[in-house]
Formats: sequence, structure tokens, C-alpha cells
Amino acid sequence: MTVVRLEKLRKVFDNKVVAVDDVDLVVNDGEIMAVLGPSGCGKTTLLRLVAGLEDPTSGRILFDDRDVTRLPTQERNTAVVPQTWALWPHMTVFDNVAYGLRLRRKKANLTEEEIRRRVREVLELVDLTGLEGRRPFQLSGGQQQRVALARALVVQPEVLLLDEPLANLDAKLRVELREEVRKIAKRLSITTIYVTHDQEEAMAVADRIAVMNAGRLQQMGRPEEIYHKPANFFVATFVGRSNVLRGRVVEAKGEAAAVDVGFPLAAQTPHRLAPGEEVDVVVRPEDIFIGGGGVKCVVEDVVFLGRYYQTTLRCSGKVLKAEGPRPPAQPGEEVAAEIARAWAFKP
Amino acid sequence: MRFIRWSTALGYAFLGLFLVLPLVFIFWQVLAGIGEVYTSITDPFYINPSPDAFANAFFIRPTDPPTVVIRGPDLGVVLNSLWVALTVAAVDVALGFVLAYVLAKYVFPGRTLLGLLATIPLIVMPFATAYVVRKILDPRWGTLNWILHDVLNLPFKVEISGLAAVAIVQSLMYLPIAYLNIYAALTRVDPTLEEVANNLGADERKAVRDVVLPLSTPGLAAAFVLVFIFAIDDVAAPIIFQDDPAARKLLSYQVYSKFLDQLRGQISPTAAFLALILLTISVASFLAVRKYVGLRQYAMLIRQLRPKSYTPGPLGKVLIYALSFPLIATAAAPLIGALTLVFADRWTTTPLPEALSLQNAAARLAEVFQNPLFLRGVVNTMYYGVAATLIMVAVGIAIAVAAARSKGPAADALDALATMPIAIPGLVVAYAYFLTSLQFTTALRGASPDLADLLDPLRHPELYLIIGYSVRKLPFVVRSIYAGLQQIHPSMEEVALNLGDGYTGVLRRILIPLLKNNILSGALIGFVYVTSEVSLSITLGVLKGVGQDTAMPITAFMRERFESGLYGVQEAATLGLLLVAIQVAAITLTTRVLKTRYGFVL
Repeated sequence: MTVVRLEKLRKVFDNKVVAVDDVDLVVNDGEIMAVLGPSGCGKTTLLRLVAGLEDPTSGRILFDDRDVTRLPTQERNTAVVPQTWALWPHMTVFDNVAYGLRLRRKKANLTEEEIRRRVREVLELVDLTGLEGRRPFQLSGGQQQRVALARALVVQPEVLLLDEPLANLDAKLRVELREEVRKIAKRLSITTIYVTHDQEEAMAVADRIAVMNAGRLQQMGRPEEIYHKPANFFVATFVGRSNVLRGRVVEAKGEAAAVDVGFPLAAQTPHRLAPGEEVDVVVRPEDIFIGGGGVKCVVEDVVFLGRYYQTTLRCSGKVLKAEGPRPPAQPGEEVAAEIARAWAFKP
Repeated sequence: MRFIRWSTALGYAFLGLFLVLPLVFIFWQVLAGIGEVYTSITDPFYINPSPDAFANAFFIRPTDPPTVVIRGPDLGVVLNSLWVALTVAAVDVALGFVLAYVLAKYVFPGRTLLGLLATIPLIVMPFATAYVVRKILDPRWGTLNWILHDVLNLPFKVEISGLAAVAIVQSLMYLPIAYLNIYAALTRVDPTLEEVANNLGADERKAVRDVVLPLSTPGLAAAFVLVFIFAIDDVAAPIIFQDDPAARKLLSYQVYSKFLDQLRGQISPTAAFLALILLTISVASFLAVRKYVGLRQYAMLIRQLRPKSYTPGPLGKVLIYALSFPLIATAAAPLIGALTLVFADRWTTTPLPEALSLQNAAARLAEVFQNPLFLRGVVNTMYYGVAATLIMVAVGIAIAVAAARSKGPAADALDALATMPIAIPGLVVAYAYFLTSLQFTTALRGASPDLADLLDPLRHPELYLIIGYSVRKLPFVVRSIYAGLQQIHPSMEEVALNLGDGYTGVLRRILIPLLKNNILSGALIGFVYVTSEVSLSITLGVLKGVGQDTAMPITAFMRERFESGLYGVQEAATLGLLLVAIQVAAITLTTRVLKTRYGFVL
């Protein structure tokens, strides 16, 4: 039962590359926190700092009230599942999973029978019963991932650290396994940090999401908040699909603004905007409804993408992509499009 | 991490104490006698770039039939070493390229056989191969003149002696090293790069010119420098041809003979200076190529790609058979000749060895095993080999881990320092060890006479031999383990650490099991190079002299036997056969069991 608290955490490599920049983050007891961001944003470094595999340049890492910032990785009682899974090819599934327990044999007063029992239990938990004697290379990708997870879980870590654990799997298996990972972490109530660049995976797995870019934390919140109330332009465009329109503020009051993007538009904003100010307006495709009132547009193209139709519209010279369950019109036809929600950000 | 810091410290301590410190001591010796050094070095004996130097380089002696004499110019010790080594490197890279290209790029009947034959000269039989070349080139009874004059009826004879003969021996000795490096460079070029060029319209010639050659140039450069270093450091060939004074006018021979003078009590700063020149030339060449090709693939066992290959036309096939097979046969001739010495009744005044029989070989082997001195030599060689290999593996693991798992100038410098011994002549190491240990024990004698006795190089040279071998051959072990570490993702160790293991546990339970093939390959190759090592063996190895408790290894006995005359030569060749057996076993094990390639590969 552990709360992870990062305070002003900073990591600079070779005195010049700032990988993690003043990050403050709290992961609550038993919570799954996804750290989401593009490649090179510092999310893996953040996870390695928590694991004790890197030393921070400054800042603190607290597990509950214990300062573990300078504690070696062996003494943190975290368990990492790296992107490569790092299964030891010279050991069987059983030996891989039992490794951490055997190291704790004396300290935790574990008998070999107790170790066997716990390994069996955890293998059952990840649905790998019967494969104890196999070597990693004799397993499928999904099974290997489960072994890596079992090896981490069996030591009953205070904090589970998953670094893109599903990145090496095919799309269908990823969907299956992410549900399973969430189920297991929740069942065991382990505080979990889950690093991923896949926003859908982050939303499916996490209780809360921390979005990172260029080493900095951009926003932290529940998936719905991140999606529906992005804190800045980066989060709005990185999470979910979006149309970006350059416009000018006509009128602003609190969090609401009227913007001219070639046509008039009502937008929400986290900034204090002034009339005449230039802004970038972000509109999600599913927030554009075709066929009601609103701005006049010409349908340029309609594409079927399985779960929905994507319609390309030209509205007062601006191109917008809309999504809907049915094809709204034929290409070339004129339609009216209503924009239900939009956000305006300072460029 | 603490373990990495300890590994780095161990690497620096070992190399600092046993490599850098003794070499610095040589430098100090030079500075101490700078006046004498200046007087000696200005002597034309050392540097003589005058037209007279070419007077006897090449001429025709008016005998019946006339004799074409090729001796090579005598430009003085320093310049002789340079021209001989440069010639050897140039010849070997040219011939090595032809061989490597044919074997890497063409499919033809007999290719496998040619590849197999090409690796035969890799087997080292110190002194014996050089001796056989001397027999082949012998102006009166040599095989060459027998072929030219008696078989082909040409109206002249050829006499190749002095530096030219040394250059020929070295070219034959080091051809496989050039060939292997160039072959590795050619096969490392991703075949798809060449295929794209072909696909865009380039024929074989253009694809090779525009893609393969530019990408393999670093390999060619590496081969050139490696052969150059080996040639300039070689002392076996000059010793075999030492009857001709010109063959003695090489840096390696001078350092060697002055080492022996020192044993007689003549301490000479000039010897230290010559050693320093030899060291500087070798290290400078090494650093040049290191900067150019990058050190990462240095002297390691490689796994090769299947290169894009072509089927030669009829003319191409004729050229392949007419050039490659004779070239390989020539390169393999000295070793085959050396082996026949064991089987021959004698080889004295005839162009070929006489009366070959298995009984001769059996009788000679029996003699070797019945001679307590030779047996002692065999035991010494095995003892040094095993002891040095254990040191190399322990230090090699520490250095490879430090170099592969940490970043920054300290790790880079350690990596470079650990590879440097490839470029440091064995003679220089021997000389440095001798001087340093002598001075150290003399200083120690007052304070602790027992310890001084124990460390006295004249009483216990074994200690210095083992350390010297392990320093010299360390790069092969380090590179082999380093290559393995590069294949292991650091997360393998990190997960173990994260689960609570310490670094020694990680080493024991994760790294060593995963690296066992690399460690074994490195250990085997290190062991083989130690057992066939020449420079330290014939210098430090003879400090205790010949007797029941001699410290001489097999190679030192071989040199001693070659100098002792007729039957000594065949005894030496028989001892060489034992070395060959060790090498063949190691090659078989590395190629068949460990599935890696054997040899010096840059």
C-alpha cells in the first residue's frame, strides 16, 4: 500500500540533455497511473528514476513518507517490466519467475516449497500454468509478456513499473493483454506506473493519465479530463484526433471565447484571451455534426474506416475532418456542419 | 553503479601497473641517457638515407649462370623497419583483397576448398615457417632455384637474401591476417545495399566500386595497419636470416639483441630508445586506424553475413583458378614445408625434404616426449597458457563490463587502453618488464630480501611471463566478451538488480551464463595466442637459462633448437607440431562448437 510522490524531479544527461524537467506527480495507493507521451519525451527515464535505475539530478522520490531518492534499486521494492521484457534465456519460466523470491529467501524466511507455491499461484494468475519448464524462446510473444509480468508480481512489489510492456505485440493481443494487466493490478491493488505512447492503451489501462512532453508534465487527470478538457495545445492535439484551425478572438469572457476562424466559432479556453488575439482552435472530428444548422461546407471526400465514416469538409476555405456512424452526403454536396465543442489555445 | 566503478578501477589498476608503468619506465631510461642516445642514433647504422643505401639492393652477379641478387636497400635500422613493414602490408593487402574478393563474391566449384586452404597459414609455427622459406630461397640448394634453373631451364639463378628475404617471409606469414580482415569487411556490407545498386542499373563492377569498396575501405585500412604492426614487431624472420648482417638491421632484431646484451650487464639507453621508436610507430599506426575504423570490432570473433555473390564468366573462372589457387598454395607452402620437416629424414642439400615417412615423425615425437627438457617446455607452455588465460578472463570480464555498461571518457579510455596491447610489441613489453623489475627488486633488496628474491626476474621470470602474456593477449578476450555484452540488453541486468540482486549475483547468475560462449571463445583464442607467443618467450623466457628448472616455453626451445643446427631444426619442427595440434583443436572448437570465426579480425 504505497503512495508514490515525485517532487521537482529532474534528470539531466551529460550536463546538457534534460530528460525529465521539474516533474511533480502523485500516484495514489493502488492507482494505475499511465505516463503518456511521444518518443523521447522522458517517460521511460521517469520510470527508471522511480525504479532506482537512474539517479535524479535533483528532486525527491517518496514512497509514502519514505524518501527513496538515493536508495539503490535493490532496496526499493519496486518491480520493473521493461519494454524488452528481459527474460533470461538461460532460465526456464519457473526460474525466471522464482528469481526474485530466491533472492529474498533468507530475508523473508521462504522455503523452497513456499517459493514453488507462490510461483505456481502467480503463473495461474497470468494464465501460464503448465509452462513452468519451458524456456522463454519456446513461448509466444503474449506468453513471454505474461512471464515478465509474473516475475514482477511474484515479489509483491510496493510499486509496479511497466515500460511499454505491450509494445512488442500485435494489435489484437495488445488489446487483450492491456485489459488483463489492469484486471490483475486492480485485483492485487498495486500502485502502478504504466509508461506508454499509445493513448488508447493509456485510457484503457489507467485510472489517471500523466501526459509528458519534452521532459515536462503537461497535464495529469482522469482519461475523460485529459480528453475533454485538455490543458494546452500539446495535450489537445496529442491525445485523440483533432482539427487545428488558426483564428482570431472576437470576444472573450472567462473560459469562453468567440473566435473567427473563417467562420464564427464558440470555444473554451484555459487562457485569458483578449479580442483580436491570434489563437489555435482545436476541434475533435466527433464533435462536428453534419446535417443540422451551422456553417455551410462542401463535402470533399467520404471514407469508410470500419467503426465510422470520416468525412472531409471544406468550410469557408478551411478543411475539417468529421466522423460519424453514417455517410452524411455524397462528395460535392453542400451541407451544414455544427461544431459542438472547440478549444482555443494561444499559439 | 558501484560494481561498474570497481570494474573500471580493476581494469585501470591492472593495465596501469602492468602496461603503462613499465612503458613509462622505458621513456625514463631514454631521458636518463639522452646524450648517448643522440650519439648513437645519428650513426648511419640507424638512419642512412643516402644513395649508397641502394648500391646492393638489386644487382646481377656474373656467375655461370648469372645470379639475380635481390637484397633490398639498406637505409639503416629505423628506415629499414619502415620500408619492410610498409612493403609487407601493401603486398598483403593487395593479395588479401584478391583472395577475399574471390571468396566473398563468387560462386564457383572448389570455393569451399579454397576457403579452407586460405585459413591454413593462420596456424602459427614460429621460426619453422621462416626457416622453410630460407630453405626455399637458399641460393645453392634452394627449391626456388631448382624450379627456375633445373625444372624450367631458365638461364639464370635468383638469390633473395637480407631484408628482401625477411619481407617475403613476413608477407607469407601475415597474408591470412590481411585476407581475413578484408573478407570480414566485404561480408559485413549489407547485401541489400548492393542489390539496390544492381536494381538501379549498376553492374557488378560499378556496384562494387560505388557501394562495396567505400563501405569496406575501413576494413582494408585496418588490415594494412594490422599487418604493418605485426611485420614491424616480428623478430622470428630476422632471427632466421640473421646470418646475413642486413637482416639484423631492423628495429625488432636490434631491440632483441640489445635485450640479450643487457643480460650480460650492458645497460644501454640506445636499446630503450629503439624500443621507444618501435613502440611509437606501432601505437601511432594503431591509433590512426582506431580513429578511422572505430575500435568496436577490433580483434574479435565475428559472425558473418552472407554477401551478395556473382557467378563468374568463363574468363573469370580461368583467372580465379590461375591466380587464387597458386596464391593460396604459395602462402601455405611454408607451413606444409615445416610439417614435412617432422616427417623427413633430412632436408639439407636437396631442394625438397628427403625420405618422408611416418616412422620418422613417430621417432621424433617419441624423442620429444622422452627428453625431460622438452617435456618441461611443454609443461611450462601449458602452465603459462592456463594461468594467463585465467587472469585474462577475470580482468577481461571486468573491463568489458566497465566499457560496455558505462559511458564517459573513463570508460572510453579504458576500452582503448585494453585494446592497445595489440599494437605494443612484445619485445618492448619484455624489455620494459625486465628493466622495471630489475630496478624494483634492486631497490627492494635492502628492505625485504625475501620478497626481492621472489620478484627477481632472473630467478622467477615465470611471474613476468604470465603477466606479460595476459597483458599482451588481453584484447582478444576483452573484445570477445564485449561483443557478447553488446548482444545482451542492459534490462536483463537491471531487472535482476531491481528484484534485489547485487552486482556480483547478477554477474554470476545472469551475465556469466549468458556470456559463456563469448568467455569460452575469448579464453580459447587467448590461450592459443599465449602458447604460440614468441617475443616474450624468447626474451623473458630464457632469463633462467636451460636446465631442469628452466622457465622456457615451447617457442623458446624452438628458437634455441633452430640455432643449434641440423637435427635441432627437426626437433624444433616437432615441438612446433605440438603447438599446431593445440591451435587446430582450438580452431575446431571455436568454429564448430561455438560457431564463431577464428583469427585476428579488425
